[in-house]
Amino acid sequence: MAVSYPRQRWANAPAGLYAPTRKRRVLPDADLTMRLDWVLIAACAGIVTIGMLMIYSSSRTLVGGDPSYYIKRQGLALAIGIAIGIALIRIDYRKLRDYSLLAYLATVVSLLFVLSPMGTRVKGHQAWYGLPFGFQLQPAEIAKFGLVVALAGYVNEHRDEIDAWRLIVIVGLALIPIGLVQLQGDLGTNIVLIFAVIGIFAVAGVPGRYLLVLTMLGATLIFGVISLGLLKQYQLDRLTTVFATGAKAKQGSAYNQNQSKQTIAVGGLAGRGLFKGFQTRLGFVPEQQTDFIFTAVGEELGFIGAATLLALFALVLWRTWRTARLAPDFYGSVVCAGILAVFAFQIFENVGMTMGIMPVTGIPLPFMSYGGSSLITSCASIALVNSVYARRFV
Amino acid sequence: MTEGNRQLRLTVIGGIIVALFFGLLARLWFLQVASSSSYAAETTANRTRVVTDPGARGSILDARGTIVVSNRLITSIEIQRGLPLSQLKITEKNLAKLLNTTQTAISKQVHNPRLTAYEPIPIRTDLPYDTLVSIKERPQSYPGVIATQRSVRVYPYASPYGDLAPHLLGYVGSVNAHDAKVHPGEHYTPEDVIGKDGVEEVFEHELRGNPHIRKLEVDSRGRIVQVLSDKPATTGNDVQLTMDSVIQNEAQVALKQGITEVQGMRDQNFKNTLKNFAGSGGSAVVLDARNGSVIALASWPTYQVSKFTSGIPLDQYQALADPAQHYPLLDRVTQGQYPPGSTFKLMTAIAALENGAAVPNTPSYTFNDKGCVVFGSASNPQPFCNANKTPHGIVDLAHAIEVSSDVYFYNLGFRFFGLWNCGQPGCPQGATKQGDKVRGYGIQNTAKSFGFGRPTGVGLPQEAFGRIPDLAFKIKVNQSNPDPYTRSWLPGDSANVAVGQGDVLTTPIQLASAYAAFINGGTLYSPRLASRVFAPDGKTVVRDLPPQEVRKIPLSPQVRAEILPGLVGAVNATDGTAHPAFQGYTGLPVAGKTGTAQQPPPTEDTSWFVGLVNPLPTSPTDPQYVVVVNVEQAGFGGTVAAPIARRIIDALNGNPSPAPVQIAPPQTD
Repeated sequence: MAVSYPRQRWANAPAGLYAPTRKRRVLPDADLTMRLDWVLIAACAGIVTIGMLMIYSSSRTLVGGDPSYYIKRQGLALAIGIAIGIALIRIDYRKLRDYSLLAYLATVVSLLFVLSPMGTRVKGHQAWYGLPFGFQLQPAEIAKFGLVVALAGYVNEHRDEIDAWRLIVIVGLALIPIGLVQLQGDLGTNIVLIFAVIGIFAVAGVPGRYLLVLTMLGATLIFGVISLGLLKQYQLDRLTTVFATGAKAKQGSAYNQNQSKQTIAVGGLAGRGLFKGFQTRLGFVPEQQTDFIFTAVGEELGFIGAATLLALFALVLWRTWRTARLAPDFYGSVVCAGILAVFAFQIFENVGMTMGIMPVTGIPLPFMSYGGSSLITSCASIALVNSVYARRFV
Repeated sequence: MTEGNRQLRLTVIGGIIVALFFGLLARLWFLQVASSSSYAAETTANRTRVVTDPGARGSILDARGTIVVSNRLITSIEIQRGLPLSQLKITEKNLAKLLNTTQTAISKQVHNPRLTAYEPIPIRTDLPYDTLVSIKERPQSYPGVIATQRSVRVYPYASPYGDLAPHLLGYVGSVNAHDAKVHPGEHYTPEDVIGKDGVEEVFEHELRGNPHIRKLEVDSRGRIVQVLSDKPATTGNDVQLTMDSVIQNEAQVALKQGITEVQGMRDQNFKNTLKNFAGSGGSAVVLDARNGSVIALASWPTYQVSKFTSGIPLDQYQALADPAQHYPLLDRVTQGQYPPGSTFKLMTAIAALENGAAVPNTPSYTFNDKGCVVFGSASNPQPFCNANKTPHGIVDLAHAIEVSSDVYFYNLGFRFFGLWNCGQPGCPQGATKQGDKVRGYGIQNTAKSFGFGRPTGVGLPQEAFGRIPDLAFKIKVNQSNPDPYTRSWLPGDSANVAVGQGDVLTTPIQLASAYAAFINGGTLYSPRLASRVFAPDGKTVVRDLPPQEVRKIPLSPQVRAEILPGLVGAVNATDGTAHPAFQGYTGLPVAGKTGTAQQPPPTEDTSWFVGLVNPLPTSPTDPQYVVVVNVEQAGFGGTVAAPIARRIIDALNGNPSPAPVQIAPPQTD
């Protein structure tokens, strides 16, 4: 059974004082290493390895002359992600509570400025910061991490006074970055963010009736965005292709999902073998190295490989969920729940989309899809979970 | 919020996630294991493309080995696929200027949805070489334009009387949806040509070169990644016809001359209207009687097959299909159906001898031809007469053939009716005795055994059946007729059949092969178009095409001996119907039979002649030919058809420049 944080000490804390008065023991690195959730780390490492192989397989013909162009860049992002992860593990996650406001502001500002000329437009979306050497940073990805940290901190601060008004304030706070992401036209990320908010609320003890109202509100928001014409036609088409039938299910926006399904299906039980998938090699699935990376797994590694990958993801979710339960304090538990919601929704939506049971939205598969921002964010998230896990007895 | 409550909520969240994961796993199983094979076919179609380029078509040779159809390289302009829009605009503009057309017209061709997306877009063919050069000199003005040469059909045998044997040779054309359906899995593409008629269609599988078939693997953008298989093109085989282009040319010339002559002749049946014969069409066919080989096959009016090489414009095609032009595309030899008239008397004569309707050396064998024979009851006499009611006196079977006595054969018809009606020749209608339905249909059965009433199997497309009537036929066509009389077999029906009138219909080629069977001793052949198939080198024989025997007809030599003098006399005796047309003839012995088939007014009579060259050969290797000529709406057979046949027979005798066709003075049929 989890050791719950003794709440009594905080009962009389003055308002606005978030930091504990008690000096905490800092875990030496050696101890920290022993206490890490190595199962979780190993699962992530396994996923990243499969991801790298699949990025190579699906992208080696995209850039003439350099088949490893994409994995070199992804490797660099991984290195950055590991570095940030190690730093996050070494910091006591409870210190992050002090930076909730900062995390919030940083998220909002980065999402705001990307809309300014500081940001760059890629494939019609004003959603990236251009970096040297052709690298790009996508603040919407980082917002998934930032919003979870910020909201968890805020909820933690007001955890005994969550009434209707406080909820409205929190929802209002969440709606600012969500609105900014919507201005980038990134509905997929917003759905992830909405699920993160609901996940945090659920674990933070928001009464069931409010949760119900909030879930309906979130649904209304998504449908509002769709029906108010805030989406472009192609986005609408993508969302509805999952219901398309007949000839319509093979053309236009349905092409991607149709090819995606075919590619997974031809893998069969054992797959065509690593680097041997012709659908993958010939590039029949658009965006295969990014959002549709799962199709490469399906074709080349087959049901056995794809099911193994899903098992690794299940392992990641299980360990995150377990940490949320074992967390020594409310904050740790809520942060882990937020991360759990983000991961779970992304995995289900992304894999479901490639198999034709979910609408097509631009959501990456964590640790797998090509994209530095996503990989670094995923690393940071898992590091934070580990930070909680390692300190569950401290 | 209690600690326990939070754990409970986490448990619920965990449960939801587990459920979702099982959903994913189930879907994965369904896609990859349960329905993988159905998707596999789709992905194979995705990545493989089959590109075919036609192989050169084989040549067609005549019996002497002269090439009558071969190939020629022609210039063609094509535009590459996948050209950037800006470049396409330049090309369209400049091509329009060069080819004297509008940019819209070119653009329309470029976006023709019928063309495959993996081959260049054909724009024009058969251009002057200069045009090709001017494109090649300025590639920057014509981005993406491929100016090449490709092969088309060419007909080297020039003749002032039109192209050689278009109805026999046929033509090639673009593959349409119907052709593709008829030839599944044979890699025909819309750019290919396919035999559309005649020999080109009959021997499509020999003549067609094997296409160059490349199976390509393409990526998602249609770029070729690798060649999976590459089967090189091969040229098609050469086909040697039995047709002799010299005889064929003579047949065409004679037919045209004869028809032109008859069109300038007054039709005596229309005394008050000063009407000339329409001469709307005609045909001539020459068979080698020993094996059924088609030596010549001509049909008039004709058309220029060379016009079809690069696709025929719609207006020209419509002109060819216009009734006022008398259907030049129709091959009258195999598709034209006419009452055979007196030429059918051969069948009646054979049947009469074999069924006892006329027995040599008995009273039934001769008949006093007074010009008409009256049949029916005293209250309702029905006269059946010769043409112009000419009396021929007492005639026997051979003489009746020689002078073409209708009255004699009407009488035979009535005798057959008697057999049909009560089992005795010539018994009157209404008798109560049981009839003999086998012998009663003796003429019909003989005709059917000689191949009438069904296609000869020559192989040319849409060959007509012809028609040999009997009671079942009458019942069938008069099913809804209020008069029950029309559904019974009457004496007049038998009489009409006996002289090849009434409901009897034959095609010229049926008549020719029946007469061929008669003079060769009773072997009915399916007319043969080609004798040999050569490999593309022109020397190696791929296969011989032997004569196709349909059946041996049990034709007794006595029957032949009774009839043949009549056929010989028709040409050689001074009172023979075809005698005037063969004045001064020298060469192989000739026999024959004229025919003047009445058509329902106002259509004028069809003029027939069947010429039998060397009917009684001294040795089995001697040449024997049957020449059948018919001319629509032209009057007597001896007047029009026989002179045309005379010229063809002159050519068969090796006369290099036979005398022009001279319409003989009017005779009886």
